[in-house]
Amino acid sequence: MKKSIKVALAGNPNVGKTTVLNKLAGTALKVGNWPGVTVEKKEAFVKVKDYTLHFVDLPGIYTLDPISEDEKIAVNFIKNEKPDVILNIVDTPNLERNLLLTTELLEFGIPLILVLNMTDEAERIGMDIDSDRIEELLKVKVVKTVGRTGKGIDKIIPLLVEIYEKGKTPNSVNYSPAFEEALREVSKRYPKANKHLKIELLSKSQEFKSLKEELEKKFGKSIQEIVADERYAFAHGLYSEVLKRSGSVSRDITDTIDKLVLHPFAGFLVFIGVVYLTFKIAFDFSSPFVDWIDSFINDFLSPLSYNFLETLPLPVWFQRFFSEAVIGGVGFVLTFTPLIGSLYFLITFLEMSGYIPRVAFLMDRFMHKLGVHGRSVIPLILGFGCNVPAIIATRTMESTRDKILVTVMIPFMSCPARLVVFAFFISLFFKDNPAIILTFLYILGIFIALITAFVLRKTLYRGVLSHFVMELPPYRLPSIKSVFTITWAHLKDFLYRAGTLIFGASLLIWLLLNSPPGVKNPSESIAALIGKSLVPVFEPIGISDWRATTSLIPAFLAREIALSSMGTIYTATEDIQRKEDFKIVEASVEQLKAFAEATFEAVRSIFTLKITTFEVEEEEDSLREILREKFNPASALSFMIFILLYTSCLGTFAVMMREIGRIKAFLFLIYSFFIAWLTSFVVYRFYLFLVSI
Amino acid sequence: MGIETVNLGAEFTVKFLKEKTNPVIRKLSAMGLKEGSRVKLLLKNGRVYLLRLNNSRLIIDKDLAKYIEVA
Ligand SMILES: Nc1nc2c(ncn2[C@@H]2O[C@H](COP(=O)(O)OP(=O)(O)OP(=O)(O)O)[C@@H](O)[C@H]2O)c(=O)[nH]1
Ligand SMILES: [Mg+2]
Repeated sequence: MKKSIKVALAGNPNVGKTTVLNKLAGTALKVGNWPGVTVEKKEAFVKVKDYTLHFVDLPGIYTLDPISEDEKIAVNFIKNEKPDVILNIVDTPNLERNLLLTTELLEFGIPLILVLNMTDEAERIGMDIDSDRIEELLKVKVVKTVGRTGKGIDKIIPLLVEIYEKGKTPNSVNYSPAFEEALREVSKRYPKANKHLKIELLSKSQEFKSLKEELEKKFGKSIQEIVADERYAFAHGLYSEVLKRSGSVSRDITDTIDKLVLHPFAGFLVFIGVVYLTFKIAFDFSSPFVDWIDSFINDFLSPLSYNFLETLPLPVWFQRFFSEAVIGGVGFVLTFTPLIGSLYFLITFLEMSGYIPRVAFLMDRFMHKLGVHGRSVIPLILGFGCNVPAIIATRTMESTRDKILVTVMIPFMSCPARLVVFAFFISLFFKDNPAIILTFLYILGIFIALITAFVLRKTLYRGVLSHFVMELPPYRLPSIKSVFTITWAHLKDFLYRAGTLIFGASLLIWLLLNSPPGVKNPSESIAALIGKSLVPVFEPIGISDWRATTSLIPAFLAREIALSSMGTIYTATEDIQRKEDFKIVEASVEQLKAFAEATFEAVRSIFTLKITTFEVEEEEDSLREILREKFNPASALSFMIFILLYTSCLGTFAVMMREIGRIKAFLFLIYSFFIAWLTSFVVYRFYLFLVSI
Repeated sequence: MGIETVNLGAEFTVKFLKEKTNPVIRKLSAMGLKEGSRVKLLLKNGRVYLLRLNNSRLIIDKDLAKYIEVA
């Protein structure tokens, strides 16, 4: 058996810990340019020689006394889980501050490697650090790296093994004589304790109360201040020893950009522009590919597989299953892969650029009215990427009250899964003004979130606001390669879901459509029975077809399933003509041509400012045709609003249970159903009223 | 004097921090804002300040800024 070496990645927030780990272990863990990206411990494994390196990426911390939940996770790990080696990643341009945590980590006497990251930025400002001198003074290994490009990172693994094999512990940290004297007293009773524990015993234990008071009298300040000052002094002394040349920022591009981006008024225009461009590019770039995949599945893949299946001795039901559940259900949702991909690409790019925390600064004034501070904007923005990690990100909030207020807002932030449903219905019913409808839906979500938080804050969560302090990183140009890696990880997740959850749901729906066994007409099946019993609930909001209501049930697993289920049910219940005379060579050539055209279209779209996606009249495939008959603009809008607001996502519900508790999560679910129904009702009736006059 | 007296773009020195045992103030110090630090006030926006401190930037809100005395 291989021996396992437990390596903790520790350091200040946003210094590149996760970036370094991704390079070390080939993982695609979330990286972003703001403090507080990693909020739970994440693991990765690397096999080398006789060892398995067990890396644990931790949330960033400034000191070992934590305030927020994410900080507690990191501190608990370091204090209680006894890593074999600590990989202490530091932000070189801010070395002095980072060395404070290093000092605390050294107190544990655990072998340590100091990774001087962001050396590219240090060089740019002309800063130089004497890494040999650090090695000499602390007896630790030092590596200079650039996380962005991976420079220097290959040296880390061999060093980890070496330091582990030799069991090299660092030099003990030396504080002032008077303080050391007191610690020696503690040692007498606890000879085995590490320095960190001794300091804790001295500060907190009843046992050393008189020793502590004596010390406090001698220094004229509280023990907490004494300890802090001792550590600062050590870090500062070390820093002056190893600094060869201190850099200075002359004219900083970040400051120049911030004058505009953080301007109270111009900043808002920039924000709107950024949001608009993100969606515009995501839509326009992906839409030719969405159309292409649609035709690829329907005009190529499915006839091809029918021809193939026909040559096999398979029962008729299998062919039906294939066309209804696989092509009609899963294939339908897969069509939207390019949309999901482009949106995640842009979101990841923004996350790595440093723009996201700027919005926190910009929106503070506004968020304050809701009883939370600007920082809470960050989880809310993450919600547009996916609600689940966004809810976990509320661990950075400093009080439970803030955490709950933000958590109940997040599920109303519209995620790409919802966008898939919107994109489909908008392309059917609102071709003339897609941007308006889409903006309306996103804003409606935000509006309901604000109302929810506002009401809670005026009733159950009156308490006071906690303080807002956050580091604002410089802008950083993301490396396109890592943006692609992370986008790909998101896409894989989506495809995995399509292959498991969505496929499973389609299978279930298909089975229910065909049971009890031998049922001739699907409208007499169990699926129809369940759907029909729900019709009275949804009829007032314009959804009266049992096929639509049935689709809503499995959609609780994930919202895209509303579409895949509808695909399955409508394909099964309506006669969709299959193209005959399929010729593989011609069809392949045609598909290739279509792909080239799609690529051209996609690239061209980037250079126009208007959203062009829904402009072209595309030819209708039959499923779209059918849905166009079964819905009308009013009921389509109502359906979209319902999907938007109702927390129809098992992942979100599960993570809410974990983060805020079962009861609150359950109450929220009921609330979201209720508010979704009510809003759909109002909008549906209002729309009908408008049309009638 | 408090930070509110400092002009935009001006530098100041942190003279005194109140309640040094308050966890948030301790975090502030660990982030580099200590007595004696040289700080530049970059921007204000409603309730928040943007400060420059060595090679880093810090957002703090006005209530927290009340704990900081400047010279
Ligand atoms: N210029 C430059 N940027 C880097 C370097 N290493 C990482 N980055 C960027 O710094 C930002 C922060 O990286 P992360 O890996 O998320 O940092 P982290 O330490 O895991 O952050 P938290 O999880 O929030 O504590 C990202 O935008 C990275 O692309 C580097 O060496 N040079
Ligand atoms: Mg991280």
